[in-house]
Amino acid sequence: MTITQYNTHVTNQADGLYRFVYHNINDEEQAKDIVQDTFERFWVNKEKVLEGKAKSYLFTTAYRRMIDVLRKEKRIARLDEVKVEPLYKETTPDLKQLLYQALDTLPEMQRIVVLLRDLEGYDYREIGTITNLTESQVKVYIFRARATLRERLVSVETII
Amino acid sequence: MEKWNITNYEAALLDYYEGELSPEMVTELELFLKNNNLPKLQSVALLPKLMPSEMQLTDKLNLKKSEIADMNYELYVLIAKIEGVATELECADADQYLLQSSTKTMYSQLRQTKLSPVLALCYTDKIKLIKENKGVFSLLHRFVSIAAALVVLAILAFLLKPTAVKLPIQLTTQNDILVPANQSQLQPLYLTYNTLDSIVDSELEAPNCQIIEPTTVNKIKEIEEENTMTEKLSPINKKQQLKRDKEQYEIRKKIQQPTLLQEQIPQVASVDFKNNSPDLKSKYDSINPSKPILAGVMEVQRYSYTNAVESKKTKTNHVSETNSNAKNVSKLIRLITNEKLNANIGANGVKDIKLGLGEFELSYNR
Repeated sequence: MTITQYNTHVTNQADGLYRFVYHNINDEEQAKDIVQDTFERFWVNKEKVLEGKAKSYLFTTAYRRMIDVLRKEKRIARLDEVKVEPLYKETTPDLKQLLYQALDTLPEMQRIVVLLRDLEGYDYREIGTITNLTESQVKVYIFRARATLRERLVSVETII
Repeated sequence: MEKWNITNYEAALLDYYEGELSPEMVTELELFLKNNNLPKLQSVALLPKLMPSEMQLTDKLNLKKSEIADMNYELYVLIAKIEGVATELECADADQYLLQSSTKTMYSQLRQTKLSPVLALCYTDKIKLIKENKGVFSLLHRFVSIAAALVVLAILAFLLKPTAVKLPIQLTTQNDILVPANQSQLQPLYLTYNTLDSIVDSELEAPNCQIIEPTTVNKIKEIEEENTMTEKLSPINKKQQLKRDKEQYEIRKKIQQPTLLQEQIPQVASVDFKNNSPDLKSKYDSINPSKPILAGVMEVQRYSYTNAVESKKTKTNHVSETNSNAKNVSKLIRLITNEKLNANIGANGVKDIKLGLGEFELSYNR
């Protein structure tokens, strides 16, 4: 992989990678660290990574790094207690904001697969490769996540 | 033998009714019916036929099971449709469900669960990740830059190199420095201490001694050399080290202020034997009337200078390791003799002085 190709991946993938990590750990600095670390590893292994697999490599590396952080800090347990302020603030909560708040309440794996599916457009097989799950497991996680998200949205709408 | 008899021909009639008899068998059956005076085959064809019912099971969908446990089929097919993974049959089922208004609402809600990226969230440190293309030209440019910087630094160092300014040193002593009679003023000064063997371990006092060296650079160098030698020969404890460092700092501070240096000119060196013990004085006088030992006293002055600048405190230090000071002493003597006696001390002279002074234990006030 040439430097130009690497830099192109930085330009094209860094934002998506950052969003993916940020929505999972809700910590701006840590998300940046993970993205930086991911790209450093990507640079170190640039000779081994095939050009067509670069995006998958980046997300897989970021995912693993993120899982380490999540498990280490037991963030999952804390998320149920602490309400995280989103970065994007608007005067009235819109659907997107509500949806991302609901996303925070999902179990870790459901949240990850939904983010990979919706934000990055990966298919079930690719998500399975990144997360080390089977296609059917990915499907189950996504279906359950959608059902849960719908329930959360309906309950919020009811309250509003 | 006939195929049919009175007991089995009805089965053949039913087959004919169902249309399952071949034309040959139909001919044979008609012949059998005619021979036995039975009703003709056409009468069987007139029997009423039952048509298939169009009635359907309306809640058939409810019997279907979802692939995902604990999720009903309706929700499953709707999500599958949204996800784009539904089969044709599941799509058809979903469309059937969507005929109901409640399902339409659910479908709309499920579609809203599709996340869209928050574009406000951007990775701002992207520039840090960008790698530079280190081509040949880039490397060459870097080397040239470094070389240019080094050249500039060398020129600056050359231009800013401090020049030693020799300042006059004015020595005021109560006793003149005397050179032995046999010592030429133009030859290196060889101070002979042979005659002083008898005053080993005696004391000389030289209070109020001050000499300030002409150049700051030489001074700093000498102080460093002096300290290094002192450390090598007589390890000092931490407290002394700290004190000395503090003193050095103060000295350096003063030294590096040219105005202050100017104010201290003319430098004064004085030797006062008043406080010396009478015994020592007499011993000194008797042993060496020409008082070459005064050079040694100068050494004491020189040494006391170092500490005298920064502090007005009176303190008595005992210098037992005179060898450690020999170098400074020799420098001082060289300095003094250059100024006052117009004589030099060569390498041999220094060596001699070292040996000579090494036998003394000196004390002084500062």
